[in-house]
Amino acid sequence: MERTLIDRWRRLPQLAAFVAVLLVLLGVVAVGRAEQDYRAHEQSEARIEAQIVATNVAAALDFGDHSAAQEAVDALHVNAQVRRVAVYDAAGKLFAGYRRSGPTAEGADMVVERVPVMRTGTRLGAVVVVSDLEHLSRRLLHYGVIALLVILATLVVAILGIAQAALRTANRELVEANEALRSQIAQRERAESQLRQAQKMESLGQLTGGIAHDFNNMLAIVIGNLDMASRRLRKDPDKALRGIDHALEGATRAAALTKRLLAFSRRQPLEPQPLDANALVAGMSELLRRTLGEQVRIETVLAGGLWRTSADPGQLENAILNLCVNARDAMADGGRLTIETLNAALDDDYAHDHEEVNAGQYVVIAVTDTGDGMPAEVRERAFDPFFTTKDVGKGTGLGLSQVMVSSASRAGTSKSIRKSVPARPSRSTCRVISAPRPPSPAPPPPPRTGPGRERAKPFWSSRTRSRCVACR
Amino acid sequence: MNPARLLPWTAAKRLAVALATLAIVAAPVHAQSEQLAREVKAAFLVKFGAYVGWPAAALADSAPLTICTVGADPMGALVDAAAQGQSVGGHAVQVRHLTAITRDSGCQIAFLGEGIGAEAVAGAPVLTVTDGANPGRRGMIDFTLDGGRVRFSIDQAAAMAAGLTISSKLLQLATSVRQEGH
Repeated sequence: MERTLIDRWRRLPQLAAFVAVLLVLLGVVAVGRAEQDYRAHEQSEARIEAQIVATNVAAALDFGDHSAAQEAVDALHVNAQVRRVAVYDAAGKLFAGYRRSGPTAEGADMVVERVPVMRTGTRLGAVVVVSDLEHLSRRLLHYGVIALLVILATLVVAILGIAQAALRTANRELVEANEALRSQIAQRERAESQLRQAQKMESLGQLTGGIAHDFNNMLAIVIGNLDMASRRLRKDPDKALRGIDHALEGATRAAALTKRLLAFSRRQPLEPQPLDANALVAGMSELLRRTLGEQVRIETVLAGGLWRTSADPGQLENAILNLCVNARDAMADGGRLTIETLNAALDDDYAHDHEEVNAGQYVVIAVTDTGDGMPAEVRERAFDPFFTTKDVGKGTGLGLSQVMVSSASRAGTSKSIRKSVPARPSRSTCRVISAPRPPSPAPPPPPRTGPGRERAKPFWSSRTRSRCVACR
Repeated sequence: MNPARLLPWTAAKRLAVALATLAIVAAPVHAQSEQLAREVKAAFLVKFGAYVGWPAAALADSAPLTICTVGADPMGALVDAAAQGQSVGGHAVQVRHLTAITRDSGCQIAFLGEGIGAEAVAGAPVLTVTDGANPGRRGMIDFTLDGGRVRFSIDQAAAMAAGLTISSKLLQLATSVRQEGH
């Protein structure tokens, strides 16, 4: 559309030049015509004057009355433009007349008119009137108005043409720039898509490697213990039984890993139910103590009068476990891990200042360690799936992303989790999982629309929302 | 007293010779200018027709314009010469020499010679022309001499009474114009 419009006006500069030339020509023609008209007008005026004189002097000429003829001629004195009037008799002899002072020669700036003096068909003589034209400069002054108009019109047309030409040039440059930009964008998109693909493949590689290693370890336990049990079944049934127990434990751990993978891919059904977060954390303390080892001191600070909340207990446990394992890994030389529960009522002002959070009542479970924290580049990707800072086989890169998936209720939440990670490495890292307090009469869930919502389905319940909020 | 005594003979004789010479030389000069004036008057007589309008009854279309000289005509053949081949407003000009004029003479212009009265054509559409007549006997146009030039006075009232119209152009050239009521 734009192109066709430009194409349509493409010949405008040439057209403008043509019109400008045409205007100038028109101006010249107009001045020429005006000059011609003026001369014709002066000529006819001189003729009329000569005819009047001829009529008036006819009788005087007829009867040879010089003074009467002179009187008739002198009447023209009032016209300052009349330079010379002469009345000749039939023989061509000067009968009467006058001549103003000035050049006697009849030049280009004069009109000469000669009419016969007649008396009913008889030629009595002739009258000659020589009339001055207005001075050329004064005539040019009159034509100056025309010239000015022509110049103005020409200027307008010329400016129009120049502007159009400039516009065309600018537009051409713009089109070229736009095309360059488009091709750059396309190139960048291709590169980004390639990068994404590479990252995906890298992630898949990490995942496959990690899972394979973990499974290998577990299978080694299962196979080793079952092998040992089969060999000792006769001689030492007790030991064989212990081996079978160990094998079972390994298989269970493998099943747990599978369960986590399934949870990550959200194939596992959600089973939200009312629960007491204090009881959940207290129930986990023995498990955590064994999992985290001797070097990590675990402290639990459980709030009195904690609200009940609604969540899938397995997944909530999983999330807490993930955070705690990460915390332990951050404290290689040991340290203190604090699990804290508290009630939090976030008001509208707070929600307004932190747009990733909705106002409401929340149950907060905060996990704090005394580790080194995360550097910025790690912090940026901390919640990306399959991203890990651990050695191959030691981590799956799914821990924090699982926390995010299970706690996120909207796209902004992931931001809040990122914010929850200190910007600079520090001694203490705090992570908080929050679950909203279930209202007694459950209100209808807010409508969830827009991109990113699909990814960020609530984990514990579609009707309750979970939160990770900032803390340091 | 003897005049011969008062004037020496030679002086008287010389004076007489001089006077005689003057008379001999001056007489032709006077006669020459008079002749010229008569020619001019004859020419004027023909030209008047162009500046005077006659009623249609007096001068029909294509009818000749008749100029009559009445009485002892001082112009004689001069008018014939002036009118030779002339035409006025589509009318051929013809000249007639009359001894007396009546209303039925068929004249449009009548030059009345010495002693001829205009009474005979009073009120008739005839342009009467006289030459230096007494005021009581003047025609509608009367020639005068003004500084050696032939001029004329016009009695417009008489012309109007006769049903003639005289062109203003001609009136402008007149030395005097007598109008109605004056």
